[in-house]
Amino acid sequence: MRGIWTVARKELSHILRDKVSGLILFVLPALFFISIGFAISVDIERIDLAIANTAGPKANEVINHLCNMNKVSKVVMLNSPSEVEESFARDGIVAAIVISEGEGGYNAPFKFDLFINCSFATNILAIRNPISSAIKNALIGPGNDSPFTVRYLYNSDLNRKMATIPGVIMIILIVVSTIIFSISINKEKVHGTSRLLSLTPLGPMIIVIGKLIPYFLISLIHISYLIFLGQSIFGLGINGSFLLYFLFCALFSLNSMMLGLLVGSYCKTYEAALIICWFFIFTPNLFLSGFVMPVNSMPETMQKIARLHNGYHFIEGYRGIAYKGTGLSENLPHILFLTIQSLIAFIIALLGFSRRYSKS
Amino acid sequence: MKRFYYIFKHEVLAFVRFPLMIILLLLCPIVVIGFIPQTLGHSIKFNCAIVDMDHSYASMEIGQKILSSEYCLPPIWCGSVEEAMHLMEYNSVLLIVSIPEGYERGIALGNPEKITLLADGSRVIEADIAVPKMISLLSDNDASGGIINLHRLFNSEEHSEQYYLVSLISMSLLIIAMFLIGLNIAGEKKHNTLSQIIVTGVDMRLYLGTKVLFYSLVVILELFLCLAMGYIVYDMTIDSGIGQLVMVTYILTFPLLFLGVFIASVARNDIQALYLMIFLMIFLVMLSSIIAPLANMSGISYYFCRMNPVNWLTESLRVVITYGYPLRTILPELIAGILLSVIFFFSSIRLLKRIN
Amino acid sequence: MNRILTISSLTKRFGSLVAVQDFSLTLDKGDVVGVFGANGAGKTTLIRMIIGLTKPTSGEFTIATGCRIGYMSQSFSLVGTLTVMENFEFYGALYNLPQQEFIDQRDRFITHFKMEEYLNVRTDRLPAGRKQLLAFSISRLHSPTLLLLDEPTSGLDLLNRKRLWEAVREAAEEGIAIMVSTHYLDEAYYCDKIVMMERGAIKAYGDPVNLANKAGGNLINLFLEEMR
Repeated sequence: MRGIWTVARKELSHILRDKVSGLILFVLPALFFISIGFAISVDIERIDLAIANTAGPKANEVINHLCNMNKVSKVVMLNSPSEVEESFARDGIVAAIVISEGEGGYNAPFKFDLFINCSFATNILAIRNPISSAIKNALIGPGNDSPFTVRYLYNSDLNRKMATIPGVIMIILIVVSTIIFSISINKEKVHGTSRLLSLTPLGPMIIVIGKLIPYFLISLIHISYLIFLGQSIFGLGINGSFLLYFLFCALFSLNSMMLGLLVGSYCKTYEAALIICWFFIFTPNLFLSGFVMPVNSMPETMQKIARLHNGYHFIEGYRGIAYKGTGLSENLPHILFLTIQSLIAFIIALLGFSRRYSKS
Repeated sequence: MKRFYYIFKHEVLAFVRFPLMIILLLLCPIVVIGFIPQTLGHSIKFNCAIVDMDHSYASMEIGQKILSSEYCLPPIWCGSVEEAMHLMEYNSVLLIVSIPEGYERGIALGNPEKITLLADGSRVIEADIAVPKMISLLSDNDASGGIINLHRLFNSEEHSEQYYLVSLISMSLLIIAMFLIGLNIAGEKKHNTLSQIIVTGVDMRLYLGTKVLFYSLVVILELFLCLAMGYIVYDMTIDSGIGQLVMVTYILTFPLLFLGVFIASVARNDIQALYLMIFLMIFLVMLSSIIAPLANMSGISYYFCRMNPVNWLTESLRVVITYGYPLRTILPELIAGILLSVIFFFSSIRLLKRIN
Repeated sequence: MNRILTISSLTKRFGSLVAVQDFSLTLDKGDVVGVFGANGAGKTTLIRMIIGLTKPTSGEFTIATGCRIGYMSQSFSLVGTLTVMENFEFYGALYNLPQQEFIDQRDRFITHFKMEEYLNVRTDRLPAGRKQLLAFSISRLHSPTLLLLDEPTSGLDLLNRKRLWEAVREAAEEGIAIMVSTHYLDEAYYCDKIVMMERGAIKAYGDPVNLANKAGGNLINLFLEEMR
């Protein structure tokens, strides 16, 4: 115990004495959470639209409905349909609509050609649907009840921050617990202090646990204030057990640290540790966890690979516990995966540590 | 000229003798371009449960429509909404289609009961896509009643690969630009080589300029590696010419290179430089149009994104590779890139000269 | 003009910490001045101020017109991934030496310090003694008139330390003014004058033999006395 506490205290004082590193570790994640939490949105927030009208003044009502649509930030009136393509380049619009004379009659007074910049596929519906509704409302009024009742369970007002917040927390914990911890582990070797430590009666396990404790405490601090920020700024409370939620996040943090420990134990320099963590842990987790795109949208093989990443299990478990209010049994697969992965990483890292400390 | 040659030679030798740099150069296209886009931008196939309280021919028809849809996996038939919600808690279904009792009778009477769609709101993106698709599938039309002709520009098949490929190329160039030069300068400060170089009286503008020039060529090399990977794996093509692409990349990479230099200059040691680079890189990636398009940003984030040099690079690459617009559309970004490079350049020189 | 360096009341503060306090010294052509002190005495800060890497808080120093400065840092400041020959070429180019002058200087140091067998070895793979000699050669490549050596002998064995000091004395005989900071008191007798620093201030200054005599024949006594 004394050995663990000694190593932990040394590590903690090292972190706290370097003011800039302390700032990075404590303040930046909070700033990151707030700024990225606001910035990243799965919903389209601004529709810049261009309209070309060849149907004359009778289309004005439709144009008014389009201009007053929710989230329209800019409307560019074009002189003719031939300007549509240029308008995409010149005005940076996401959609253009050409209103022309319809086939005639009450039911088809106009014809609409809607051009959408589809380079980001998941935004297509978000752009098309409000335009379609605005046209429909202009032509036949908002009447006509939909034959469907739609309810969003666990998220009745479809708060889109639910999609991004788990991912942002995942990123913060991976950066602090995996990348920074891995560099810190590797630093010992680079600076030669590992040789000194190998001469002490402390075994490698004691040293590893001692080094782990301060970073684990820091990650617990992060988890705590991220809960507070999530609730106060984004209105996202925890529907499930708070204890289970906290322990689950702590488990993920520990899991990330084990992966960082694994990388740091075997890399010769901290640049190498950083590169390995960045390309094989951070980047895959960013894209494969379900944060950027749903896992269900990936090809089968990629879905299987996604399920091998700790980020995927974190996001799934997080959604279950925090949003759905599910308990231990529903999230057991994710908890088991994270636990087993942590144990395997720890054992392999310890072997590397033992070899390194005994060689040096 | 002689100084320039030897400084350049020093950078080349230092680069090729540091295997990690070569590994980084190769890892980027393989992992970021070759592997990651495989995961992105395909149509969501969602799983749904059907709770049939009507047990009629009409409800069977609904089931048949869902079964034959390209968007839905084979549905799970449940006896009750509670049973279906239990599946939802285990993430086995995204959507529950609940057909009420008397549905078919209501159709016959001209006043059908409403079908209830219960979506898993915790999976926002999927629910947002799945619900309109389900409505469209079950009602056989779209909201506009068929009077809108939809023209998809730049992406006819609802794949986001083209969007993300460009984004990922931009991310790769950012990683190479910032990490390589940042680590290089941080290393020179750590080994005190920079002090010795300053004492020689060499003009720091020449020294730093030559260094950045070398790494800008490395970034162009990386660009070609990424394009090659994009072409081999995804048949990616460039809408405008390769010359335009190289020119745009070259100009807009300089702010990122100088940013790496600036961070290495500001940091007191190499560890601090690493930490700063990591966080800054993530900020820049997230607050640009790499992950989500500009249209998804609101308020201050939107304006920050517009000022973000990574966004300039990403959008400019998109203009050249995907859209094929003329270069004058990105003139403001090119000018801003040059200005920012100059600011970072001179700030870094002042910082490096006065190391303490 | 014999006077190469004049330092007047040079002070450097880092917040509340006084690294160098009211330091005054002159250095003439051919002088070897040793600056002694414990870790944290201010030796490196003093040298960095003279080179221009650190701005003094107050005081001033004057370097003779046309004087070229050579510098060798504690960590050698060599480019680790370059070979011995490539380091010569790199620094030779940075010093902007005419080609013939560079070749003459380079070959002179290679021969003098017997570096022939190491020419194609990367400097990060050289033994410490060889790195020191290479760093010393590079600091002299451009024929400086003032040489500032920051703990050039730290980590060296007795033989290599002797070798380096012989090189320092040879440089002094060529008329180069040299300031050397070091921990090792036995090296004092290689110097014409020594300065003992403690917490940034000068505690003793003068000829090492005279100072030793005043302290009972042993400079260590003087050092310990002044450091109390």
